[in-house]
Amino acid sequence: MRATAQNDAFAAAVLSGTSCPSRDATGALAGVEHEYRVVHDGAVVDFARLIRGLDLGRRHLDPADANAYRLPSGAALTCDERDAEIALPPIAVSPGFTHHAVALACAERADLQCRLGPAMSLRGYSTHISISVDAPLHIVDSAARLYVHTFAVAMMLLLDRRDSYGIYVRPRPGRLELCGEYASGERLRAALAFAVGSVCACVAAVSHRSAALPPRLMLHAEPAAGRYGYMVHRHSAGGDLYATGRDTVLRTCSGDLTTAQHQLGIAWTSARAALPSAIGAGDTDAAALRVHDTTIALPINESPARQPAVKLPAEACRNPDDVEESGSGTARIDATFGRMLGPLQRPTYAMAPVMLTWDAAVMVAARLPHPRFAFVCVPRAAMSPFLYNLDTGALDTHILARLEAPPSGTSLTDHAQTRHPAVYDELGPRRALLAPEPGDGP
Amino acid sequence: MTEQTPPIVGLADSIVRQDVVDGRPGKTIAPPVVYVPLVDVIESTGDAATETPAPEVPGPPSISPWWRSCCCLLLAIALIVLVGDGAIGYLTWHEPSRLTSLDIPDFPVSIVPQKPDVSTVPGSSTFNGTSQMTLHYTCGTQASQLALPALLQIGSGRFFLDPQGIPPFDGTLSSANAINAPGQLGTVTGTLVSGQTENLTLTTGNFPCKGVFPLTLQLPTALNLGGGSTTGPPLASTFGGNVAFDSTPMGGSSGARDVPWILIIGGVVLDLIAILLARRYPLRRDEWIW
Repeated sequence: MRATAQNDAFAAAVLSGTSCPSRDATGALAGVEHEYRVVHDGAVVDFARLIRGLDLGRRHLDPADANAYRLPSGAALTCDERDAEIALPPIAVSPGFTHHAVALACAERADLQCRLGPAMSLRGYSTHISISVDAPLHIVDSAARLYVHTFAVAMMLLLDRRDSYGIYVRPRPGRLELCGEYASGERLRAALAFAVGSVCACVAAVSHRSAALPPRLMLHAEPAAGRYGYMVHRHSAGGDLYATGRDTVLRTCSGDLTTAQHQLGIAWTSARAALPSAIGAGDTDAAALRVHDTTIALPINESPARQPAVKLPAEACRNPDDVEESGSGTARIDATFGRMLGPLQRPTYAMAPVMLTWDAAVMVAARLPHPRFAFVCVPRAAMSPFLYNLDTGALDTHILARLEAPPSGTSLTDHAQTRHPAVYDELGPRRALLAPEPGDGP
Repeated sequence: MTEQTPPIVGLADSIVRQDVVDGRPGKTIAPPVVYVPLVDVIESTGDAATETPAPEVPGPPSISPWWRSCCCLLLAIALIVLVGDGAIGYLTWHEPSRLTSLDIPDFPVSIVPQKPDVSTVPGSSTFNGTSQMTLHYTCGTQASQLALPALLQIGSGRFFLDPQGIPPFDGTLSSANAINAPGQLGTVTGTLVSGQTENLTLTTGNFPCKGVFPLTLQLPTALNLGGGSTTGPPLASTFGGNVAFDSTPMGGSSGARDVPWILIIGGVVLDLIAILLARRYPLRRDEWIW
């Protein structure tokens, strides 16, 4: 009971002065991951062999990915098989978020290019867009299946290229992930805005809230390779969507015929209606332009050969291998995840992370050389107020009290515990702190 | 990482390394349990503005965690052994089971075959030592050799025989299956020599045993006579009766007699080693276990 009361007081101190939600609302956060091929003298290089030599700092902070490094910018750099993968920290869906995301992605790419040196270049390979969903996993799964039949074709037109295979729609704990071709600049902005709105619409629909949806299409999705999810192939709707583009004839579940362009227009209208009201034309313009102006070339209308590997100067914040680029984006660095990398020094004690994921951070706190230490768990939603109140000294009393009192035997061993700020005496295996993925065994 | 890595980062790295073992889930990381001087607590809570400044907490332990872990492990093992052997002794010390009665009324009658004349007489029934019952059989004078596969069943009571519990038929035992569960059939196969007294020994495990249990002895329907003759005398093949045992736990200090001496000696040796290590690497007051 004593430890519980102490943790309640600690959580109150962490969240004091904020209206921090305990969970991320559906559509409140967007995440972007980019995968790159590393090219040297025209040949693809195995990035897994390079990443250890890039002086990226501490490894193993993500228990699920032994290759992942957290960067001071807050992004994560890892390798997916032979490719480099950059994951941006979750971005709040607020006015300007599409520009923010594009600028961050561009900056991270430039940073990686700088680390690799001039002899190597990066070739964009894929884009993963994640939208937060505040719902149990089975609801996310239902939303994913609905997405396949309603919004997937429109997303494919906005994201994929002529030589792409299709997109993945993956339900994940607390989010829905859409995986497609590499996109940056205006193309990424369009896909991001559409993704947020379309996922919100699907989640609302499966949660029995009112939501306008485009007609459900008759198509056959396949199980996604690798992780649990669904793959919508370019041929899933019958024809070849990437060969015929906007003119592709589609059949709805009710038996009607429609075109991909018509479906794209209705889908965007539905997605736009489901976007948070604060999101205005500054973020929706790129998507709206591609949907309504048929003279704008979609990615599938571009030549597959036009994907050069480009050496990006470190100071650049534009991706030259795209025709369009964001003109107003600036990389507003979200310092939260970067600061959580620590170490966090206080006058009488210090902290450093022993686990850092997008969902939560676990810091070890100690007053060295005093041998007693404790583990401070901070969920993502509480990270910013945690850092603020730590800087003001409001948390010192709580943490010091735990460092000086006899251990009460509290142990951080379960994912559910990571949803609340708390201090523990022991840390269990960190994998148990991760959210269970779909398809995981019992 | 530079050579000026803050100590807290080094601590964090050591914790992370413990959790990353060839990619498998790691183990629980617990902080060292230490004694905290009261003055430190008072100081940290801000209630001791006028108190004497707290003394510096001594530095990190002067011995490696490995040695401290060894000391703790040895102490723990020694305690477990000493406590455990006493507990085992208490639980397993019983008064020797007494065979209070042996009632097999049809046994000597039914085993008489027509030819050759084999008579079996329970010459004596003794109960010697811990939970042992000995039945004596004597073959008749005319049969030179007798094959005797026998089925032995101890009934449904809480009666167990340990795996080494059925060594009958001295010198000629070919197989014996232990009875180690109530109602289980055990098979004893051996050769009874004419005129020889054989012993069937039932041994219980180290369990208290009290009550009356049915015992069944089943003889074959064919006797293997000497000279290769295999005539089949019409034997009544099954004989039964009741065996009563009484073994009552007694408790007391002499229970250690049932405990392997190696446990006691091992515990004492481990204690001595732990004491020597503790004298060589003493724990400071602030490291003392709560």
